[in-house]
Amino acid sequence: MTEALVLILRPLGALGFFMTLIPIMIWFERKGCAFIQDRVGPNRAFIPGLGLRLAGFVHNLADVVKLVTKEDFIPAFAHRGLYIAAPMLSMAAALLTYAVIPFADDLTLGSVTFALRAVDTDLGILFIFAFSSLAVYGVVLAGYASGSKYPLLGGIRGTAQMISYEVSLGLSVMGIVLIFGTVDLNEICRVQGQLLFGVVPKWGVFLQPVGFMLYLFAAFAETNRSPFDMVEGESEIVGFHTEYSGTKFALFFMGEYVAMAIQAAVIVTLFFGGWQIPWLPTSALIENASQVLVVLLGAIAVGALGFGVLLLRFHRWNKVRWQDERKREGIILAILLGFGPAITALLGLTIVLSTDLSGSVPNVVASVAQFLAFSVKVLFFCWVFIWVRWTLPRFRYDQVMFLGWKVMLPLGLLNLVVTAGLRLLWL
Amino acid sequence: MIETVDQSDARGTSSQKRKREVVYVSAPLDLRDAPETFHTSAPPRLRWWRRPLLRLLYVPAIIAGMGITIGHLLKNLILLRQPTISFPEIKPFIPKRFRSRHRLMQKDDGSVRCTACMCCATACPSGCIYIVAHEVEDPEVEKAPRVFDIDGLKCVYCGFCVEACPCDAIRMDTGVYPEAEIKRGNFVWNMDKLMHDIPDNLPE
Ligand code: SF4
Ligand code: SF4
Repeated sequence: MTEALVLILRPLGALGFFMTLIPIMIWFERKGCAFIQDRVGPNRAFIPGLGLRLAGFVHNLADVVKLVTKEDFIPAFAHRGLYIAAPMLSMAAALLTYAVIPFADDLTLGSVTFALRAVDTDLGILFIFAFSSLAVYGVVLAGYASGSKYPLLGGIRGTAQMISYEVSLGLSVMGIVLIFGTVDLNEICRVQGQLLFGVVPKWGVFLQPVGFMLYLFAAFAETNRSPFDMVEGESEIVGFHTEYSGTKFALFFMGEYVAMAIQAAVIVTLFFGGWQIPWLPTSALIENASQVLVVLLGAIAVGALGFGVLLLRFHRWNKVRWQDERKREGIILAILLGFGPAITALLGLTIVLSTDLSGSVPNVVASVAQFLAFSVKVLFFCWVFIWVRWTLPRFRYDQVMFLGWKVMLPLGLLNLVVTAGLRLLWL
Repeated sequence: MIETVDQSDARGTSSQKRKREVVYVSAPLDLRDAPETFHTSAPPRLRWWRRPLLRLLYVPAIIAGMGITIGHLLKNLILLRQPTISFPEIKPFIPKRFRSRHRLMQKDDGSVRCTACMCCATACPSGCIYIVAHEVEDPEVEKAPRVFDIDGLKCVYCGFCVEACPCDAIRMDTGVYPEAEIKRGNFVWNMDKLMHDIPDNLPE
């Protein structure tokens, strides 16, 4: 019974995590780019009656309503079957990849131990490469099936770019595989908990700095994000989804964000210790579960308090601007999201301080702490994707190809050879 | 290719360093303006971050750029000083002599000051003033507008109507400017609106 439940809940939980990241990332993107460009960003859409704007979060809801109710148009000259299949493929390829990413160390509940990832397999990196490279089919089929010139150009450019960078992507990870000696992501995370020279955590980024840079660049190219968005290129060709509208366009749009979130998760897993909290291996977490819980709750209380104060400041700032029901929002949110959680966390803190943790509770606490560490890292790298997009201009097509084949490929090969040599010497 | 020495670096670098910084400019249209030095020998040494290999990796420039953007973000997040105005809830500052929506002046008894002389309609370059006159009892004016419409979509806010009016009956000092409307017809302002739908305490 529990086994079946776990089998169902694990993929759902992982799916939920990455689907939740989509609106958060879209919000990050809009608000972040606005603040980078000295603007205020979206803050108009609000829920009537409640008067909540959530600092532009409601725009996501408005987008959903718009995209779902829009006419699902299929051009007469399109290849019907492929036209419909392309966005599905794009989304499916992006979503399948999440299956092997571990969210925390193996969790023991009573007598059962299970891995906290969607599918318990040691395929790891191979699985990710197999499915993330399927994304290119979404792009090329959309371009081809639209029966129009601009999508075709976008699709072809995108395909060339993605295939070129796939090479560097694979090569840059080879170094990691050589060093850790496995492709299983959970195992890789576990090894990264050890210490290097007794000081720094044995994270991939310290062992493979060149590999990390190469992987980062290739990941940008793989997800077709700026500065590598050859596929879209708003200024010259509109992109492979020119002819798409409504829900199909939404699928492409969400697929891009899911792919981004998953690349961020892979970067974190391979190069930044995954779910590892630096200097705190799982056993230490379980042993000191009550201290960990205290620190966690304290951090939550302080963070929520700070957030509430920030919201109140926003509220003061906004109060002069809005003369309608929206002006109450700041106070409501500050209580709901800031001071309320802070007080709850403090109450929890007192309870924790007065009781002893027993049974499998410490294991759960350790897993939650690791999951939080993982989420924070992933969110940071999602932000890096957005940050880079709003900083750098787009590469020219020949520059993309030059960088891919003449700079990154030789560097990747060199990195691989040097790593292999060092590995031979050390063993 | 013509080579000039970049003199624009005003941030107090030593003169030796300044001389090494080389920018390549495209040939000026008038060749008499071209600098004397032509590119003949091997190109001079570049500073390390301008060397081809490092420039190819784009990394130093990327890091500098990302520092700039995150600086803007943090500044805006903490100080909340974006110059954006939340229009329409907050109106931008309107200078006193801004030519805004017209108003029709009133006499002391509240009737319209306009005498329907048609000067404004004649002066109007866009022909957007529509006046229908009728006779009134008052022997001094004899005429007054029965209909006085201004089409706000045609008006170019030139202010000629104000200049043309012999009895100061039309002014453009309300500080109101048209915003979005649902129908085109709503932009046609009739006499009632022009006389009464105006902010208080405007000068008489
Ligand atoms: S401002 Fe100019 S265009 Fe407008 S009504 Fe007066 S004269 Fe005509
Ligand atoms: S010029 Fe003055 S008085 Fe004559 S019709 Fe126009 S507003 Fe009336």
